[in-house]
Amino acid sequence: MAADTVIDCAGLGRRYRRTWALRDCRLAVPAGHVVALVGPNGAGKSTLLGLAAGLTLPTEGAITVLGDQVPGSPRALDRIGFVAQNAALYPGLRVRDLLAMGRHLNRRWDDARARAHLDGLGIPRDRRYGRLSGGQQAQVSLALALAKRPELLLLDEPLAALDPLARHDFMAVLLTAVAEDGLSVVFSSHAVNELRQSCDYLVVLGGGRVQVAGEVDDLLGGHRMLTGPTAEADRVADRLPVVRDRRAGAQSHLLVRTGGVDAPVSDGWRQQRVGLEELVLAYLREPTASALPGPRGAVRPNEKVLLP
Amino acid sequence: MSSLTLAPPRSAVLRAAGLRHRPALRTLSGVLAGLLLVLAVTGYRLHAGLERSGAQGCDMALRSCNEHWKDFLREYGAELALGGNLVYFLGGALGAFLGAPLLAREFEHGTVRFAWTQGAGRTRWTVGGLVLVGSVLAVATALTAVVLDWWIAPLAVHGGRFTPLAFTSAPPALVGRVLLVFALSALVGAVLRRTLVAVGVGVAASVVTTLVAESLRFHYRAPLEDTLHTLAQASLDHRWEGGLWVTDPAGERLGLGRLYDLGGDYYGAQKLLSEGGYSLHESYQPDSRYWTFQFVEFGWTALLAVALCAAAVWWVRRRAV
Repeated sequence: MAADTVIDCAGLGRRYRRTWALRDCRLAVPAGHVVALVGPNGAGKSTLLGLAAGLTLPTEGAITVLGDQVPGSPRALDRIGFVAQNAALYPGLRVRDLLAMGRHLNRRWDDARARAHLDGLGIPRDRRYGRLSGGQQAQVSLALALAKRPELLLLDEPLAALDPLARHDFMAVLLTAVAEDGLSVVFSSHAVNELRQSCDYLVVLGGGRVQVAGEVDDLLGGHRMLTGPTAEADRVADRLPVVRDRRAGAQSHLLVRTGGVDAPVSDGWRQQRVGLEELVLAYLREPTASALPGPRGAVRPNEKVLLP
Repeated sequence: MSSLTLAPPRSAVLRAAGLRHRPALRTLSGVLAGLLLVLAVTGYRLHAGLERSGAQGCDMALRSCNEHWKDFLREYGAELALGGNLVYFLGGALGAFLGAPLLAREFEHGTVRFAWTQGAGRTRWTVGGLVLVGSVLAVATALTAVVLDWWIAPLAVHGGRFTPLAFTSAPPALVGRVLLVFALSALVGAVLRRTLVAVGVGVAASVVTTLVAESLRFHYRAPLEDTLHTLAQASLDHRWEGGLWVTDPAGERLGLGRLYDLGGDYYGAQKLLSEGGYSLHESYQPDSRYWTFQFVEFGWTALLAVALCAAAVWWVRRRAV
């Protein structure tokens, strides 16, 4: 039976020595989405993916993947594909040897798919991995992950080192696999402006905590940028949950959560829908703001949150 | 698709480990092939030199035999000492060069994130690598040690097979030591995640292991004792002499120096032994115990190697990336 969540965690934390890389992470990512995990450097993206892949053990809290599977367990490993940051594989091995390794190390393995994937991109299978370009290396890593026929694919900043063409090719292969197999994907990225075309679910991490989690369309539809007179800004801010408040002389800009409808403000205010990048940046600049679904979302009384 | 999840068969994990470590194993084969060639050429010279010198098989009690032996050592002693000492101190380092990168390089290059997220899991992957590389290393070392044992045999012609340089070059002792260093280097590499540091620790461990083994070796089995009544060299049966002491007619134990003091000089001491009721005692290990000692040394070093490998696997199971 298909799981209804691909990552489900509560109170999840991971500490490296005295530094918390991830803290009090509560998240329930539904299955069947392409999830973008965004946040600045050190936000805990790689840590969260590492925990979901079973590479890291939590310091506190609990996490399950694909329903009730424990990360790192044999059943979870068989059903999850993972592509690491910088697509690190063995540079001295030929591509065909890497495919053979994958075949030997996995019960679920679609060799024909991996070969077709690489042949389709003209990546020579007899070339050593270390001699491939960055884009080709990323494609080999993706081919190895997809050949497992995973139900969940985790990608840790797969686009970071790629040029625009390689990024496009990578995302094209990824989205084709999503369309064909219906697998769930969670990938971390800095390239917020490129996410709109590929992801339909967004998780924003900031300072080791989840700030935003939800479907992209809901999030974009549920926020408005209000521009109006500063003299009335306090009154508006008292009535609506403000994510970001910028006041410049006579005019103020308030990013508010409206729950999917226009904000009830006077005619002196102009309201606009916001783009994904603007939304993400607004939350990252306001670490105390959050937009999380209930009842699993971490909602604190002192945070500016509009409950659904 | 079935929800039943089966791990890939062990042989498949070993095949994957074979692919992963093939470059290192090829390098090992190349290095050992070169070493064997050098050993074959220089060993032939050493054996021919021993034959020519006339020291081969002669009676060391004879002055002429001693002279032949000294002639041989004058010509080939430096070569034998260099080769013997290299193996004696650094023979185990062979294990460091394969053990250190086994896990450390996976951390350094970040490849653990690929290897540990495959269906086989990190434990089976780590065990597979240790078993495969360790086994190949053991077999390759054993083959090399057979040739090495032949190479250094001229040194043991008159000193006996228990001579430290000869003993540590024999297959069981050398294989055990190499495996011990291999396992220690792998563990250190996993903990510190630094290949170079792990190699350094492995090389140091090779020296330390040799010295520790030599200090323990005489006690692998309880030594035998001989009682003599002469100061002349008692035996030429290649026994390993451990200690000498003297007892007086009342059975009290005293040192050899005290006997010389009592006798006044060598002849006086000899007279006390032959006519004065004093006895010279010798503890020794007979040459017949040579293979027993070889396998005792192999046993404890190999057991320690297995324990260290188990510790490395335990560390990997608990280790976060």
